[in-house]
Amino acid sequence: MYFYRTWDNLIYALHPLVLCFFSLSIVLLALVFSHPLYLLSLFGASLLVIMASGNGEVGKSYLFYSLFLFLLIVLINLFFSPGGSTVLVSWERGGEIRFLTLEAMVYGFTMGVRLLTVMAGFVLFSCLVDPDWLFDFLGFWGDKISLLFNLTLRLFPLVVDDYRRISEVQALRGLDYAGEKWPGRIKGKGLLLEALLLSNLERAREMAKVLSLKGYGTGPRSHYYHYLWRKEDYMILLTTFLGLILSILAFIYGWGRYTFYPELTGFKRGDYVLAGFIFLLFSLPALGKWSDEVWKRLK
Amino acid sequence: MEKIKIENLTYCYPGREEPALKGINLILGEGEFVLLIGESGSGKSTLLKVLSGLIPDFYGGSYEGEVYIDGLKLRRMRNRERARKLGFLGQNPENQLFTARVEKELVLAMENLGFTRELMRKRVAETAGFFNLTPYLKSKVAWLSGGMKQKLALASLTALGPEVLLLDEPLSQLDPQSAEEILNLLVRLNQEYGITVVMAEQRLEKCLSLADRVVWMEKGEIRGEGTPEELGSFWGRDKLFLLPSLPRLFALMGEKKLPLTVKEGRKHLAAYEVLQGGRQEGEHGQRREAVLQVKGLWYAYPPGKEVLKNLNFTVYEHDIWIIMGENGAGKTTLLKVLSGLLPASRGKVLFRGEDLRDLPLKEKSRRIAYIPQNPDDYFFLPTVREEVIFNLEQTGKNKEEADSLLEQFGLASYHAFNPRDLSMGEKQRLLLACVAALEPEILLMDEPTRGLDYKGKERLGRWLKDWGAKGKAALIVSHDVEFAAEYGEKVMLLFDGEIAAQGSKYQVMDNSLFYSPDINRLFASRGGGILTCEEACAVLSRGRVQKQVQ
Repeated sequence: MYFYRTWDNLIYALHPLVLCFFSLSIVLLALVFSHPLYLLSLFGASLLVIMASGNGEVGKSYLFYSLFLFLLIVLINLFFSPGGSTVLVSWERGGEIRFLTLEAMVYGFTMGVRLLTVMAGFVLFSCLVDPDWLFDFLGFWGDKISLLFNLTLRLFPLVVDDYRRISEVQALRGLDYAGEKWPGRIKGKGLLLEALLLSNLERAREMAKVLSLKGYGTGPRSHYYHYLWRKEDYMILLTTFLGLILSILAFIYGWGRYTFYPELTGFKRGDYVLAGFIFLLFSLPALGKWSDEVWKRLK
Repeated sequence: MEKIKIENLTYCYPGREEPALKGINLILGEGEFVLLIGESGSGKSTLLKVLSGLIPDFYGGSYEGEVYIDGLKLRRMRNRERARKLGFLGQNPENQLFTARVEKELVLAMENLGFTRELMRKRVAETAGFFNLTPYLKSKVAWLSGGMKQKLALASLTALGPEVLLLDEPLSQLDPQSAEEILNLLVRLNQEYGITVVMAEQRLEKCLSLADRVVWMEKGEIRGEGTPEELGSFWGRDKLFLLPSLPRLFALMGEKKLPLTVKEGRKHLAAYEVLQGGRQEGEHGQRREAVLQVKGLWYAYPPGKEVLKNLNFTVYEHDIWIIMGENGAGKTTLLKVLSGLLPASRGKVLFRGEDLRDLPLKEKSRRIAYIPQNPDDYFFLPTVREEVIFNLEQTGKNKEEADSLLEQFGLASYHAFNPRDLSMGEKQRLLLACVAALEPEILLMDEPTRGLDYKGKERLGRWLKDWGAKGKAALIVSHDVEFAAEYGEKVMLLFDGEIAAQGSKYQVMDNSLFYSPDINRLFASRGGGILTCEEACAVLSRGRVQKQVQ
């Protein structure tokens, strides 16, 4: 996958299925929860795991770009959402009174945190899950699904690289996007993207051809790697599963929801406890990795 | 014993009327090393696709005749059996590999064919050892160089234990060192393990001597076959330019059995008398002005790795420079700095006496043309004509000129084609048409001979000579020593970001250990000074005349 590289630590020693389940659970829960406390705890836990796994740099650059979207969501919500009763600022324009509310701001903030958590989940997925394992794993459900998924993953870094290279050459040819007016700029970018799409469709076809020559899809496959299940795998799988069950229960019983409008509801003690549990359960891989290091040092 | 038999094969791609292969009949013996040669579009790749089973399974089209492998009809063979017996390696290593890690790539085809884990483990150990890949087994494929990737692609095919290897220009994207390594491995696979090798290739100077048999194709037909030494006898004088310079020289001297290596060439040369002379350094009568001046140039990629170190040189009008050097020496980076794409870390690049950094981008793109390694990176418009018009508009010229330019470069009938659908040679012609439309003062080209056949190289070379004669300058990055000797005027050798040598091609290439053409090595013990086939012909002819007079 795009960011996948292995580091010598406990997190990378986990079974790929556990890592896949863990990162996708974070994405799923981020989409389910709307409670700011739960989302913050989930986001905090995923950040810890990103850092502990040795992918702090990748996470930082990815989340840095997501911060712009975060701010955009907060601002759009603040200025365009009419709901909320706690007025922060008000002014008059064209005989109409306009106002910004605390509820709209908190709602925007929560949705921004949701976006950041989803992004963190994807960073974890692309940094931790071995794409070669994924290729084999998806193969169980069908050769074509696996082929499609892996072609997409394989092409992504190549497309990024192509875009950089082609843009450089076109800039030297005099295709100045920045200097053009909007219609010209859009047209220029459109043509560039078309060229990019064409060359990558061609490349995908070439790769599919090579794979068919290598006998892919001609019958049952065997597997070279044997991934061992160890006690750490069972533990993380269990805690992630527990976190997932707890969160589903919270969602069913309405604890995971939060009322923003017309007035923010306060946090109950139970909310803090549940958020703490979720944080603990989902940061376990990071805590395990650090305690493992401390233990080794003490020994 | 016959391994492959092709009977009356005719094939036509879908939507095309003209067959790509016409009435092919060919028998390939077990363990033979067969080289398919011919110009671009002669049908070599199509024939390999037929042998691999890609045609008609993957491409469709109309297909007549039959191909037999070990007496069995190829079309009746199950895909699994075919994949096990026949290994196919294409041009671009990037498209041959599918997995993230080297070890997984080695086992992928074996997993697809259901090999047992024990057998796979054995094959991985053997193949990794043979191809010297053991230290890289846990590495990411993306981190490997182009040459290593091609080696890995070949290794993953070999791990299956194929009986036939089908290779479609596997060296075209590689630097000379990597190409040499792949060829050595192929020779070992052929000679030590008896694997039949069928290879289509343009870089004949490297592989002609390795082949047992050469099959010459033209316009979809087989026009001749024989041993590589007999090539001159079934090629007329008009086709001799397709030969590498060393055998071409002796073919031009009228010999029937051609030498293929410098060692054999020297034996042939013993029969001739060689006159002194040959060096024909070009001198331009007119006053030459500096186009580019590079003064104390340094460039470092973040986080500080220096790629170019204190370069100093001047490019004058009429100059055709060839920049050579191993991979990673800084050649492409130098072109990028000279084009203004990358800013110099230290030092100066002066264009017509003015600092390149002060030149506006619009002005730069009009006066300096940069042609990347991959022609597809240059094209972004939907038709051939629009590509030329775009460049004409950059210089404020009339767009009606596009038609005459396309005519001039033999592309008039392709004006409505998408540039990506053109062959490599046609793409090269379109690039030159675009450059002609722009008429820059200096041309920077990165590996323009990659993937070109001899005809394409000759066309490019002649065009460059005309370009220089017009007072324009060019800087060309190339690994192609023969091309540099034939068409370059000055040569720069980069090593680890520094200039190891620069000067006229005679100063740099004559008696150089590795950066000299075969012709020069042939004459090394006879005084040297000869770089091209033309120069060699002249001294040998004179030698003959002198012999007769005596």
